[in-house]
Amino acid sequence: MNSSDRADAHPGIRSQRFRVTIEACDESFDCNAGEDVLSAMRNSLCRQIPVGCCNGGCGACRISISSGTYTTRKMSRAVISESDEAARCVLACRTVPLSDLQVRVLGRMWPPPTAATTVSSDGAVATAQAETKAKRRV
Amino acid sequence: MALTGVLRPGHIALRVLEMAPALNHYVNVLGLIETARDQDGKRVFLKAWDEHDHHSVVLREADEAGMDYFGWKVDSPATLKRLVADIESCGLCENLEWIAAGEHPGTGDRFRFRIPTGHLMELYAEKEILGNDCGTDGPNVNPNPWPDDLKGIAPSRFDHALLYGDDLDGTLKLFTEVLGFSLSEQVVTKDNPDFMIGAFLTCSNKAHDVAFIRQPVKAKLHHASFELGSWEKVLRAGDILSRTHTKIDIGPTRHGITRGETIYFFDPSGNRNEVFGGGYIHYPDKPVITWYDETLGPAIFYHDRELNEAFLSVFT
Ligand code: FES
Ligand SMILES: [Fe+2]
Repeated sequence: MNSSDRADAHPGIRSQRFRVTIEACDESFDCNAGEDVLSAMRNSLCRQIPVGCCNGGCGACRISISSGTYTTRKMSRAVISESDEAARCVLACRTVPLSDLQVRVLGRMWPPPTAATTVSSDGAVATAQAETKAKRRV
Repeated sequence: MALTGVLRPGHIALRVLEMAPALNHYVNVLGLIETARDQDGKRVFLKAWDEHDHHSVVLREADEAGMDYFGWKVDSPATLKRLVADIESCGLCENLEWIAAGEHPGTGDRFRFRIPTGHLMELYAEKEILGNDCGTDGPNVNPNPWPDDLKGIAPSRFDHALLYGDDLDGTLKLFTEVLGFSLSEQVVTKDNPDFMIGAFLTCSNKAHDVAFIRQPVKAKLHHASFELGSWEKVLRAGDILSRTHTKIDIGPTRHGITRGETIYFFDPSGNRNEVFGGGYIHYPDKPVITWYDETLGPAIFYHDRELNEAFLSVFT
């Protein structure tokens, strides 16, 4: 199912726009009916949700939805489990709002936020640049 | 024949979340050619135009994205037998099994094994030849340089993959000591040059046929890469990706490692693809090129000189 099918299934909302608010920082952006949350963010000035593949595979854009209704397209089970989904933890790039949303940014659990050196003890490669950028985001 | 043993990357099997958008991407945007599909439509087999063998890409609809396995063509059934014995006795691999001929259309027996970084690899010796459709008076007779009716980006071949996994040392040992690959380039920590972060491996004259980067994960795919002839074609690929609203990760730019000109982008399931041109010719006596961790930025993206955030953290 694509997003336009979904808008058809909710005829009242076609011309509607929803407000997506990032809880921790109170930044928010508009999302057109039928548009996914990550695309809407990328079209705004907000940069709070990490952007990866934009296609439901990598888990970079994981968010949890504290309030509001939404639908999702298929998400890779490697990054969103059934229990994640039941707990309203979803991928922003596969989530289409049906109302205003309040969301919390989870992001991928990778690279580990503690990786301070180039190569951490578990062999993880992380760069100073990626680190700085990750910090800038918070 | 100087090039013996493992000849080349033969196929990569990718998991996709939904087949229809995946096919639109791989056929109409990337420009591969469908050669077969399973009766239930769960797997589709494709090849690039200049590959003679039946297929080089397998798409399988699944619940998660990523790579199922990577197959290598070897020069003969005798070599296959010898390498299987070597794999069995080296103790580096798990889950060894034979996949019967015909399980992939037009393909002989495949030997499958799990390597130390968690990836499934296969060796096989036989695959039906479909040809490249360039011949003007029968297959391979008086050929044109390229066939009619190419679509999209139209790379000439599936070329290599970059894979992420934990036990890089074990995988490196397997590829160099058992499978006969050579190390063309390496990324190591400057403080401890014995600690390898990245290994670029070749079984041919190419700068790499497969590469591994050490990450504390198992069996992950960073990208599957397809060959274009030139920098101009990489730029044209960028135009096609933009026109089709395909998510570009980075590029067009140049890799320091292998010197390839490149663009990274994502398929509709989030698997990263690359098309690239250039690079150098590798000979087995070429000295190994070394990059230090502190220079990983220009090693990967030579112009930006720093990794984009997605390079290390986005994979399937
Ligand atoms: S950005 Fe990759 S899953 Fe959303
Ligand atoms: Fe590559």
